[in-house]
Amino acid sequence: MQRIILHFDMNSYFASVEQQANPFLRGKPVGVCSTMSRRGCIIASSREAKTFGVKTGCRVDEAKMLCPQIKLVEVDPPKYRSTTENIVRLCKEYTSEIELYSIDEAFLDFSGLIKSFHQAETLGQIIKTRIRQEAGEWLNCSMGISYTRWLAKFAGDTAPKGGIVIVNPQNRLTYLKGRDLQEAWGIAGALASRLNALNIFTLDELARYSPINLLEVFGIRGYKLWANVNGIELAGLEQRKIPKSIGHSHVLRKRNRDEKFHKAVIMRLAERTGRRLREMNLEAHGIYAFMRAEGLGDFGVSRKVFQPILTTWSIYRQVLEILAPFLKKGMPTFFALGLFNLQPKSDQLSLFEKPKSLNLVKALDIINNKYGEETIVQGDLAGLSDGHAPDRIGFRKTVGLDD
Amino acid sequence: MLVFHEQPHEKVRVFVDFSPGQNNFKRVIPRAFFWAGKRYDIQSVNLVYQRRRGNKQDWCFAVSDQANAFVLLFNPENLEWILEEVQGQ
Ligand SMILES: [Mg+2]
Repeated sequence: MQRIILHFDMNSYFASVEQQANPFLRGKPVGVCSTMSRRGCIIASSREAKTFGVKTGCRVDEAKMLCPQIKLVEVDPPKYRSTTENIVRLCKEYTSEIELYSIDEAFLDFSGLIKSFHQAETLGQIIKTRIRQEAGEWLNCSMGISYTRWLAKFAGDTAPKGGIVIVNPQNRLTYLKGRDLQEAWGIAGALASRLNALNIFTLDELARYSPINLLEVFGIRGYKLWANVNGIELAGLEQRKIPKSIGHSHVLRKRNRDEKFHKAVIMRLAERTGRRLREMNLEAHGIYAFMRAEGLGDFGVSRKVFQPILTTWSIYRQVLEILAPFLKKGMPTFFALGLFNLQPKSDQLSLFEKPKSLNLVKALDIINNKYGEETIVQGDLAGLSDGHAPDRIGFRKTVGLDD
Repeated sequence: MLVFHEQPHEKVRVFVDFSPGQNNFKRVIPRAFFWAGKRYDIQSVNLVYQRRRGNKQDWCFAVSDQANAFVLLFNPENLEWILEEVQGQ
């Protein structure tokens, strides 16, 4: 079976949606900014603004210097999210295998549904037309069609704005020929220089290079680079299915009436749940908490909440609220907590945040991901020794943030 | 240059055409509205999207006439129309 994957990327998405909503902005340089103040930054710029050099991340006053006639509008996530939903909905009529990679990019897997790249191109044209008819006539996208996920995205990324590029086994090497390494998805500055040191300057040189040597120099990462440009599927579509619920539980080995200790266990469970929630870019509209206590039996409550739950702290606070009356009475032997009614975060802009504007919670997650679980923990976790609510094996450094 | 921008958040009277259309653009079509004693004839419905309010969703209609772009918001709970935004040129 010929695998056929189509990748599409909406062009200048946020700015185009703004131009869709307000036709007086069409054909003009538009900057979508985080806030209207001078110190705000440009989150997205229209095709017209890009010709003046106004790029994502540019400060508002810089943008005005580059392009005095620029029209600035404030970012309005519901517009983009709703429009993406419309686009995805119509794509679902062609395949159920869809990976929404970001708010303006998706992979559609047509394998088994159609026979040729040519048919995929026709489908691509139909989808482009329907996007214009049903999501907005000002909305354009670039498409890439190929036989692996990586090549499809590479084709889409390198396609001319609004165009469709097909990379098939026959034209792959010609398409890669002479292209700079950094044009490839996942190859940036430092890695490119290291490849240059091996006399690899273009993508076709990379494709022809010995995978054994790459494996020796770069480890598995080197092999992946080689496999990607050679059309060997490594990933497949990652369909981000939203789980029904996420949660953690813990059986207490030590039984006591030390409320501080119990709170610390709950905080640790909340911390893990919160991290998973954020890793999946979800928000929760339901929470449950459950405990078992010696002599008192089981106690648990689940409730729906209006305000989306996003942070560890809000999980912790609400679980404590549920369990508080019970916590004082008995000797707990088991805790469980979790979140349900999960949905994509309503502020999907996090995808476009620059590292400097990452909020603290996310920064902590990054540090923990890099340096190991619980390198940095919330106040209530500090002082809790290992062995309580462990979910992974390994050494953990535990440092309190605010003690 | 900032786009001339106003957020009146005012209840307005709207003439609406309900049609059995294929998609959001064609099902509910605001045709005209009255604001500050003036009638605005809508020339095109440019974008239809939803906006969350608590755990409810409002429908937003980004529309335009000859001179301006507007966002009309429909609250399906109390069936009210609100003029949310005016963007001038
Ligand atoms: Mg894009």
